[in-house]
Amino acid sequence: MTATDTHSADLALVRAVLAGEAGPTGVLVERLRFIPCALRSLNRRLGQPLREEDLADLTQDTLALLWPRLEAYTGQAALESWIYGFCLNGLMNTVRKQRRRQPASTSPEDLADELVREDPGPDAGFEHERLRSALERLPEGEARLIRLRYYDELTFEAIGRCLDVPPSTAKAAFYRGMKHLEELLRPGSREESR
Amino acid sequence: MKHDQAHEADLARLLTEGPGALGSALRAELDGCPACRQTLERLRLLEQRILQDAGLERELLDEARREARPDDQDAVRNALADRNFGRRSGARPWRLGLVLLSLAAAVVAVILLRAPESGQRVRTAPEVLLGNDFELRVVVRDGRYDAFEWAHELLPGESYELSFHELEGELVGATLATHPGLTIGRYAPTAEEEARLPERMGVTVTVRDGENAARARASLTVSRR
Repeated sequence: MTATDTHSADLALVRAVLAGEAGPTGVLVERLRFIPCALRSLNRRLGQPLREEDLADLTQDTLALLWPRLEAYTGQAALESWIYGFCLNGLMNTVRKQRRRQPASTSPEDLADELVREDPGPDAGFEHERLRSALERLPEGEARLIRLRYYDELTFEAIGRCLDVPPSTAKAAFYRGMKHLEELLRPGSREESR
Repeated sequence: MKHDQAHEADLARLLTEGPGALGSALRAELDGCPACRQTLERLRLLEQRILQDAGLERELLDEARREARPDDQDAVRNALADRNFGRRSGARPWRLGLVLLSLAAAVVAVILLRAPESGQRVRTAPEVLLGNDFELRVVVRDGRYDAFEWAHELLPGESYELSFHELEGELVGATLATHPGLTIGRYAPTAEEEARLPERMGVTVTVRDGENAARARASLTVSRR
């Protein structure tokens, strides 16, 4: 089964769930069980910006928000990958709110702590979030090519087979997509600051 | 040097086919073009950024599949059930209580596990305690799961939900069967159901309140061999 077959199967599952079919709903609930652990791992990687009780709340909020948003899933990426982006966004939004409530300290001690910490800290999360947000704003075809190339790790020959286009066409569209994405992420770009 | 369409095509080849895609003369031409140098540098940085993001996603998803806990699926079910009820379950006030219950259950479990064999023909299958809130055991008779028993007192409106799960290594996998709405601390599978159960599986009993929120839980892995 190719990556695009998997994505299509994921899309069929989501559509069946949205149509109210009980069996697929059970399958989807099974697949969603990675969410609490993904949020815990993500929080750990970003230096534990959220406490355990905040994470528990975030898990519930993420699931509550995810369900109505399932309609937005178009099968452009694997379902888990799409949900992971949703989790990342939810976690970073919570960190953002937390920061608004507790403005960052600039005491010398805190700055020293920042310098010696081994984890990348929550700012790395904002970088990942920014990239994903820009990917979502790309034309669908270009975003799909970039995802297939880097997230699904396909060669251009494989991408061409999946999309039923010559590899040269896939390469040209991929290059356009990368340039477009780079422009979106460029500091000061109108899109980037949205 | 003028940046043109030919340069763009060469840049696309460099990005999609790697550094060996161009001969040395073409590469030197691009290196001599400030616009190409800048574009290539920006695209390389972007590529690194995407690869980093994709790598993090892969690592975290692998980690989440490996380290998903039995209660993660319940957390998912509860959150979705709460969504149907239009409210969030009050997890925080219960957390301390559950931790205390877990500790007490662990002490009881250690005492029970160290107790001498009673010499009964019925045996308790090998089990792994997974941070239980109350005692849960399986009665195996003649190589069959005879019954599942647990010691817990229900509050008004509460009920037990018993579920059987596949095991993927030591991790709890897909749910095989769920029996909600039980009101006594014992469940004996029918012969038909017993025959469908695997040699080794996970068993979970969840205490649910009237709004389906989990209040306590016990899990163990069992084998009828």
